[in-house]
Amino acid sequence: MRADEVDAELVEANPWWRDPGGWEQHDVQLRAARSSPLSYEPRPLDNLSPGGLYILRGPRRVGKSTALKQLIAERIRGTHPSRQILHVSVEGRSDQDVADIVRRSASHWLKGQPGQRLWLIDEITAVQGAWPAIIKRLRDSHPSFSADTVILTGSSSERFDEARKLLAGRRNTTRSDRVLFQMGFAETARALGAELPGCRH
Amino acid sequence: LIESWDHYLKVGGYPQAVAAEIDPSDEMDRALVEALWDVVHGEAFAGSGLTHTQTQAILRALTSSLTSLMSVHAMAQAVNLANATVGQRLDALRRSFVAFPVHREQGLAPKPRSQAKWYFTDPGLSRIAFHFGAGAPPDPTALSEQQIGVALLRALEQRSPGAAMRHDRLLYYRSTTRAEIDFVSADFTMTCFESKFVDRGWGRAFQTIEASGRSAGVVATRSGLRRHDGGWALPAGLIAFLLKS
Repeated sequence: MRADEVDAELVEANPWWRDPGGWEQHDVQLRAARSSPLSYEPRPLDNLSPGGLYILRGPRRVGKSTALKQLIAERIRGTHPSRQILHVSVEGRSDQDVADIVRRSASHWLKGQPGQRLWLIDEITAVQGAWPAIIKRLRDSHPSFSADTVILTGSSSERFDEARKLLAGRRNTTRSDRVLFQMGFAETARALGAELPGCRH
Repeated sequence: LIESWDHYLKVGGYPQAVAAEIDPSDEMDRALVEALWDVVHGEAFAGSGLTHTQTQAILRALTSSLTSLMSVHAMAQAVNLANATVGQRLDALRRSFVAFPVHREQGLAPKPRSQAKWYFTDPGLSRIAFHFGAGAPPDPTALSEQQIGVALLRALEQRSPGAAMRHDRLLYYRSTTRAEIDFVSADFTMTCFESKFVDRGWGRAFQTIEASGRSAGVVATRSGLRRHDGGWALPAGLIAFLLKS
């Protein structure tokens, strides 16, 4: 992937670099969530450990991408500098493209020290090729990517065991494999007006 | 809980479906069906070379076999495709979290080369073939069993990450006399779950549970709640609620 192609994609996908205070108003997923009659905020990415490598999987259209955007918004509204957060969708890209994107992002776009950055790489399971091997190599050798918090998402369970095996010892956290499903019974019933007792989760 | 469970079986858990139920419109309904078709076709059938009609035939066959043992060969004959093609599409549906197999247990592990039961992961997906004019909608009995399976699978995934991807934890039991228990697992120890979506008359389920040698069972009824020697009959909605708690 050429550097100018990577640059163009990153600038497009990370509007908070230009406008950390206003990007939420224009974001497609966040706008859809705000205008929906349904008030539903799944929290599949709660309790992240700094430096952890997470994989969030689940069916399409259950809110994974929205959950990523909500995480970004919360971080930026907090104390996380917007130039330390990177989001990119790699659907349909090659495993080599993923490596190119990570290297270019780290060297030219992301600010901050290794360990301070947050990487959100969407649709990793739709990459053509051996993505677990590339992530392993980057996690082993790249000074920033190896220390930063990394979240990968995907809509397929393919390569689950391969990723678990290859990335063992490189996750720096527990509960590193997460799944977001459709809304469960209690969530759905509450959204439709039923009064149910509170849950522990 | 009983009415809410009935409602849940109609709506399902896709946020778009729940939103359409809160604020209904024809436009929302159309968008929802198209979105679910996109989930199924885009993830599991795109690039397969199958036509929409063939895709719908597979989905219809899967819907009609909910709660039953599924023969890939019989499905392949029904939809006029090769066994391997049907097997590949089922695997694609599994990988994309659209459907999942529940294998037969042997020593609380999947029994090799035995027929699995297949379920969709959401009532909306179970109805998608019907929405496109292929077959009948699944009945609430099948959907209730499916959604108890989904609730158990989600609970197992919390406890054993990967359970919802490997499909080696949630299994069904079949005796030598072909009596079945819908859901067993090494994680449930000697408890098991059987779906009987009725308001009364679930007693035989406890006979099967007792004959299986399990110490206790939970029968997921529609509304019945009663203590038995071999466990509890509980409304399916209550079971799903408690599993999440």
